Amino acid sequence: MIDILARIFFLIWFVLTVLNQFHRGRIIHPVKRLDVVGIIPIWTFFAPNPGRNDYHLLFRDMTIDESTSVWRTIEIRGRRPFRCVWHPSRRIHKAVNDVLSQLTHTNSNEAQGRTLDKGRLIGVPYIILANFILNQPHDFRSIARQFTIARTAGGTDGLTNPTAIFLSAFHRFE
Amino acid sequence: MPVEIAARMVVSVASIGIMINALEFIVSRTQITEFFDWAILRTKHVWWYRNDKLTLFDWLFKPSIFTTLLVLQACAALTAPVVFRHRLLLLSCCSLVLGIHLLTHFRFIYGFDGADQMQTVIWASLLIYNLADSARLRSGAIAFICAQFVLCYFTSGMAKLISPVWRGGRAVGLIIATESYGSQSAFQAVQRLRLSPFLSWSTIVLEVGGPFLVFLGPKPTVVFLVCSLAFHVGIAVVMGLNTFVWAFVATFPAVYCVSQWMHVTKWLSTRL
Repeated sequence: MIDILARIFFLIWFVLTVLNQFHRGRIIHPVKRLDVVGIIPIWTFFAPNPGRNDYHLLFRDMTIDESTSVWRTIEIRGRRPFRCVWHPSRRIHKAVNDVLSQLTHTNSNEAQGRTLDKGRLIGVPYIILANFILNQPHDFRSIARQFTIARTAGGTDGLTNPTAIFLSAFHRFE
Repeated sequence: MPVEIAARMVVSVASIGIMINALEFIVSRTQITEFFDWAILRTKHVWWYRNDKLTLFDWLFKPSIFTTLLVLQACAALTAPVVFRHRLLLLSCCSLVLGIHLLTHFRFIYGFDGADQMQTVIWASLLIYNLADSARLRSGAIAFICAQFVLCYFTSGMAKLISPVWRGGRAVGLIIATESYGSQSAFQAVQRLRLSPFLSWSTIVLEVGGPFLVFLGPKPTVVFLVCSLAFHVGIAVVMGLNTFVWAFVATFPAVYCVSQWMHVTKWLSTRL
């Protein structure tokens, strides 16, 4: 009995994996919604579109007289000399990148220059970011905070050409 | 290579990956839990959230409890190779490792990569290997690991082959130019020596062509696996993707074992 069940399990899992490699698989989408533990793998690493940009999180505060501070960066990316062996910041860095990618992924309306889909503002990626940024220390004179996501392309001139790809509203501190 | 030896080697190598993973999580837990607040993330599990079935998870994901689970996972991973011959103990270790691995994915949702996915494949297969009463099913579990490895490489290679950026030879240069997945020294070396086209196409050839070597028998498979090892070590050094080495090298004994059965040229020579 275990034999048969196991074979069926392996077969279904393999078929679902194959289908998941084709992002438009109609069969796979309902199944993926149920996959809360990431058991159906996707094996397309850095392809067909290789990651070629870095994302940066910045914020500024507004004071009671409505003046704003300079933009400050939140440093998430840690550099360690032996990251080929031990790299704890890899996880948080990948996670932040995933969130930023979801948040900044434009849908068809937005790509045609229409308004930002307001649904984004109550989506989990936005709320996670806003919650994290608002919980960073702030001056007692600050009443609200705004954040932005900037993108730089790698290379020697990457950091001189950042592009702001997302700007939030000001959120009041509680 | 007998199936049992292959399985034991898979367990041994995969365990190291799980231990490193768990310890990295423990070390960075403050930063990760600060960013990925469970109070917010739990709303993403729509069915569970609407049916108010997250109470158990609320308790499991308390910082102290979750850290304990990660320590338990690391200990189970450390123990698994040692107790390989004791079926019940090995079953317990595999269940703990896999269960906590999946729980971590449920908790954080974001930040998981191919190494995590391959570890899921490995430990689920090992669990079934342990539950199996028949030698056939145990072989099937090892074959499944090999099948996912082959699918992974081939899919990844084909996705690169259809990409104009990869075919144009620019992809590797672009990736290692980033702060996220590259380094200044590697970028400058690749720029100076104009290595990007060579590296891009080498990756495509390895990923698309390599899996076919598995069907040609053990010796070509060894060549493929040595190239694959160099590939993953290179990625770890340049891009910092350390856990990929352990997750993918752990599959090598399974791939080698299966290559002994999938010896197409031998099969053809007995029939022609």
